Amino acid sequence: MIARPPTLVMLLGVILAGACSHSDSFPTVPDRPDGAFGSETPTRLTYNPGDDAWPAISGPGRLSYQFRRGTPDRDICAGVMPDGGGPRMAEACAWETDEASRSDLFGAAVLLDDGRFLWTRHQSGTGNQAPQDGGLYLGPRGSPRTAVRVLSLLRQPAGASARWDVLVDPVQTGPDEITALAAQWYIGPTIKFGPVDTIIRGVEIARISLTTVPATVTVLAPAPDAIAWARDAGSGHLYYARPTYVPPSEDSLYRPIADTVFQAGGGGGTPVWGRPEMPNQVSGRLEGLAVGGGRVFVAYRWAEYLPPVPPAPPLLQTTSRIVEITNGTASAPRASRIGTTPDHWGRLAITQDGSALIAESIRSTGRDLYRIGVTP
Amino acid sequence: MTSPTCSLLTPGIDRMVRRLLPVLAMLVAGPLAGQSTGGLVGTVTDASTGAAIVGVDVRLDGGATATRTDGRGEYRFRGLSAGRHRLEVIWPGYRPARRDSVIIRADEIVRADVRLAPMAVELAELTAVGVQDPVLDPLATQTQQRITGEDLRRLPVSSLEDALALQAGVVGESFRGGRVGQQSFVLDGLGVKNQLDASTNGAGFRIPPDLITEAQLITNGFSARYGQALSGLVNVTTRDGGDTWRGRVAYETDRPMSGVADLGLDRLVLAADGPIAGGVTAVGVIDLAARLDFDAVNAPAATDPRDPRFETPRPLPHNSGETWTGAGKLTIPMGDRLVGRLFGLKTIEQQYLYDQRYKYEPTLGPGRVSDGSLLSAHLQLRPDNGARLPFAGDLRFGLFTRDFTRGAVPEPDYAFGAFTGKRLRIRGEELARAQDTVTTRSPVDGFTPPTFSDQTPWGVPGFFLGGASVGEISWNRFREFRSQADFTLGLGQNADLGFGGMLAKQDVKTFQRVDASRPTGEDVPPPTAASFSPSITGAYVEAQARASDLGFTVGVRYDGFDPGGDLHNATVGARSTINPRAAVSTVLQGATIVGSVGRFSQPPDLQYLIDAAFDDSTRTGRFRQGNPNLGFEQGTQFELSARIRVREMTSFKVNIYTKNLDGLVSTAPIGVNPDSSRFVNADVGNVIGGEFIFERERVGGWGARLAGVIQRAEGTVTNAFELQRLIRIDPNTGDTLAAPARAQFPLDFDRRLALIATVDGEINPDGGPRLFGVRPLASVVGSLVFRYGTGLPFSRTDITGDSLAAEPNGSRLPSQWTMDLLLRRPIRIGGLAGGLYLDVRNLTDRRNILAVRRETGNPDPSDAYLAAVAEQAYLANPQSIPFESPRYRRSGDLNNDGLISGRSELYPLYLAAARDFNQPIFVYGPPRQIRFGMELLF
Repeated sequence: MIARPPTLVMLLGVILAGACSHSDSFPTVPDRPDGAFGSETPTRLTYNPGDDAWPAISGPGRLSYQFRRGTPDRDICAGVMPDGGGPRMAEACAWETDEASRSDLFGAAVLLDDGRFLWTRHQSGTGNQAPQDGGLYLGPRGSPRTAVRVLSLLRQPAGASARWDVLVDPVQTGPDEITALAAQWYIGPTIKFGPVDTIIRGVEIARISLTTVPATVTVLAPAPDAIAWARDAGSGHLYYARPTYVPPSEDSLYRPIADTVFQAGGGGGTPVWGRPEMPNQVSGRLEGLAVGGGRVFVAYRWAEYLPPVPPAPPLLQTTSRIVEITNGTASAPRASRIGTTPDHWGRLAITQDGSALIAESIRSTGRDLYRIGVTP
Repeated sequence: MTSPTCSLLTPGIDRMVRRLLPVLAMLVAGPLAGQSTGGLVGTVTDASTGAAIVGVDVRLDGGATATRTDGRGEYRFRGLSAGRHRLEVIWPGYRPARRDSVIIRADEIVRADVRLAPMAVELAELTAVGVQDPVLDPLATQTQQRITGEDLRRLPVSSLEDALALQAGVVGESFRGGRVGQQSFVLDGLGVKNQLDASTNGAGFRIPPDLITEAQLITNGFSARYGQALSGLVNVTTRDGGDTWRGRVAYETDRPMSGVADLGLDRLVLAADGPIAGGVTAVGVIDLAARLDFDAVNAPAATDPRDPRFETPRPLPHNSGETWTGAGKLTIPMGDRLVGRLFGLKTIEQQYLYDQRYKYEPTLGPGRVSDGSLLSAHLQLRPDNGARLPFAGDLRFGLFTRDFTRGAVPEPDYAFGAFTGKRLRIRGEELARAQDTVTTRSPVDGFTPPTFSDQTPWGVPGFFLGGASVGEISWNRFREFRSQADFTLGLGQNADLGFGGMLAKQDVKTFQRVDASRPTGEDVPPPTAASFSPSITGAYVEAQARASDLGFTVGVRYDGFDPGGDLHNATVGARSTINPRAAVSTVLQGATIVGSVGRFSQPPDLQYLIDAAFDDSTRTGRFRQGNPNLGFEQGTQFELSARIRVREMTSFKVNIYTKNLDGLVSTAPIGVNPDSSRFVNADVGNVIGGEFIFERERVGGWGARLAGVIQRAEGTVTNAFELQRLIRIDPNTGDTLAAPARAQFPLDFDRRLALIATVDGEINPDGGPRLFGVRPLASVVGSLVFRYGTGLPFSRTDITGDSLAAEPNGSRLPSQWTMDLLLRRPIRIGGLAGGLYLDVRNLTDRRNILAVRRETGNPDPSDAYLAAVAEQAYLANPQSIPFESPRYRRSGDLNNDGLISGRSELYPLYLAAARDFNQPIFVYGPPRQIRFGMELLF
């Protein structure tokens, strides 16, 4: 007996009904949070017992920072986490089996839009703070050890007049391009016919193109003595902050007496705002600079002695503020700390939409990162 | 039809047989025709008087082959191709006698007696030709199990290997308790064997079922024509192209299933054959199969809800495989007696291997590619059946290549189902093929040491790896050019003489590197490579004679093996062995009795001749020395078998056998260092047992078969890689030191009892209920296979795994059973016939246990073991895990402070990870597998 076509079609239909695709193998569903741990304000982003510092928004939603794992060799790792909090998306730490015999400093982490992971590494002998080797590395996110050195740091190329030593606060500014604050050094005599030493040539805001190996570095603007820089993605303006030190002839202490935020440009740029000198301050410092969405934020602090209450010695009080600068004028503090401990806010970064700051919280117990909403 | 009985034996012969039978056993030598051919004999008599008719023309296939009866009215055809033939006897004064489908089986002689009716006598034509009952035919001396092309269609099997597994005495690829690799393939008469590593990596090629006319499994012995095997011979006959073009297209899948029942299977088969021109015919088959869960197992779901296997036990990630097979054959007539055949076969098997260590990061896991190809040419001289001394000959040439690579492969990029459409690229493959042992001493590009994965549900750095790859690069290539000549000389109607020989020139190249992310030295063994050119030779002479119902076969085979001069430490050159074989058969009291004895030899796997660096489950040391002086592995077999026709359609066969094995390869430690060892010919063993097969032939719409085996297989070690504890190599002299007593233990495949029952039937075209004008069950063909086997042995150890807690292989796994079902319904689409089928394996979803943990005797690890390894992992990495770390898991932060720290929070995660890592998976057999198929015939 031969089945008639309608039956056949029905049977074929049964077979082909599920012919779209096969079931997938089981998904990986780790029990990981995808946001911040707590809901308090400011929101604490890091719970690592070691220090978490140097925040930078290197791309949309991507917060780069450095952290200490607490290993005896005092290594510092670089990581990238969501700017709203959550597990790190990428990290780079020393991996060699004998790595405890050296100190490693990882930094300048950038998780590029295409998933590649970029970071710097400086190595020194344990306890020796002067690094002997360094480089900028690029590789897959999941496997830092497979990364390729795309730029040597601390090594002066043959024929070059200087070398690049440090990259700070990197931001992806193109498919194969980052911009960072870069320090350029050279080896030469400190005085004419004097001994050879490593001398800083300058600090610049520089663009690093990753299309070639070695990567090419192009100076965008000088940023002399800069400690921080920022870029307003909307206007393209570059900013940097630098301290002004007491001239050596006037004080035995080498300390900043003033700090200024500049919009980078010719001749060192244009001053935007200067840290105010407080009447009783014994020290002060501009700690952080962040620019985004046309808004400029700074973190600064100062210390002053409280009036003494005999027989107790005078107490040193620290005041720390995060303010927005508008037309050269500081706003009311967006966040502040005041007390007799040295706790204060440190370096700043701002989310790309300008709605929140990422701030270093520096306490005697360690450093952590916080997110502070700054919606206008 | 005559029915010979023992009453036809003369008293003298009868007495002689009775004396010989107790000492002759086993080994049934085959007929002297080519291995893919058979013979036809018979007597032509006058139906009215019973007198023999002399000089009658007997023709086959319309006169393509013809002969004449001799003075006793007997005729004989030799060298007939396996399959159906048309027999015709025409003689003046008699009605013509015809039989349209005399089935000739390879290696078997069929008897067809013809009674010619005088013109004046009324006799039904159909009764004019009677075919001898093959069960009782004393001339069918081989005791063998056959798998026909029809069996492959009617049974729930997808491959020849599946069908072989239904035969008595087969456990996986082990035949009659022997080790894997103690068997050989014979493809259309040409011996084919992966001589390099058959014991661990199989044959290296697959024969598409659509190409097979029939296959024989000979577990008891084989003709002196064949060597290179101790325990079994798989003799495959492929079909020639037909007189008209025909073909088959089939597709099967499990896509209509969902969840764990969807194992991602897709299989497509295209087959066609027909005439080309000038009598030349062709046949071609393409068989493509892929499955997402290649090694599907019926392991229970995980018990922890956080484990992804809790919700979805399968398919496993990075566990797919695909097999591409293509084959073609040209048959070229070259005159009346000459036929040429050209054959080509290529099989590529590639698999992504699931690795529990990389369960959560399967982006770069282990994989393997096996590429086997065979090109052969066959020139056949058919006998002149009318000649006084008919002579037949076969010249065969074969080039067999098997290329095997194993190492790290990235995550699959599937094109359709589990088909990738491209060849897997094994990392470091180019270096391996170049046998670069210099560059590869350094860390190999692309390899990085793995780190502990942060993608697990447990977060803690332990057990599971990621971020890198396995560090293995393994490649080998075995190439053999074989020439083989076989001749048969007919000595009258009752005797044949066969003789011939073979020469195979081989070429072996290997490369192996482990831990490729690290430099060699200290604990990383150096890369190993080998390149050498062995050769094997063989020659035989064999005579078969018949006297009434008594048949004799006597033969002797010479085997030679020379590993060539390229190997280090080789002090022994060519080695050889002589292997006599004999068999006698007769009919006694309605039963055919066959007794046989034979000695068999096979060269050792070539992999045992060379050094190897090991970092896998087969290792007995991190570095193992090869031994180029290894000799033949040998066996002597005795068998007594009986075949009984119980009723008209039922038969009973029983075989009793004993097999002594000697000189099998085993591993012996050098000095007292268990991490350094060497291969030696030091294992001895014995297999003794009995098989029975009860069969109801397929008549009246149904058939059945019950096969059973009771046996015991023991040896001093269970496989070549296991340390031979009773043998030690003196590091100074290199001498082999044996312990005074050589106790024997069960071999790995020592299954004491096995039963296989098969029932198949067909509903007649008008059967079944009528629904909407259609009878959906009409013409449905169904078959059911039930398999039962007692447990295989294993060795109990203590919790460390270092010390045996009982005798080697002294414990037993639980028994296993499965039930498979196939239903096939013919259909017609337009002018094309076809069918739909439903194939269900392991119908009851039985969870068979194939292995256990040696320290517990069951699949699960003990709590004490888990606690110990969890503690070890915790102590290695006790650091706290902050909230922002990818390793942070909210469920592990018991005090909810954003930090998983201290033993109270970390240890439970390590324990859960240990439980996950050690959960049993591949210790279970396959789950229920349901596949739907559709085929069209044209």
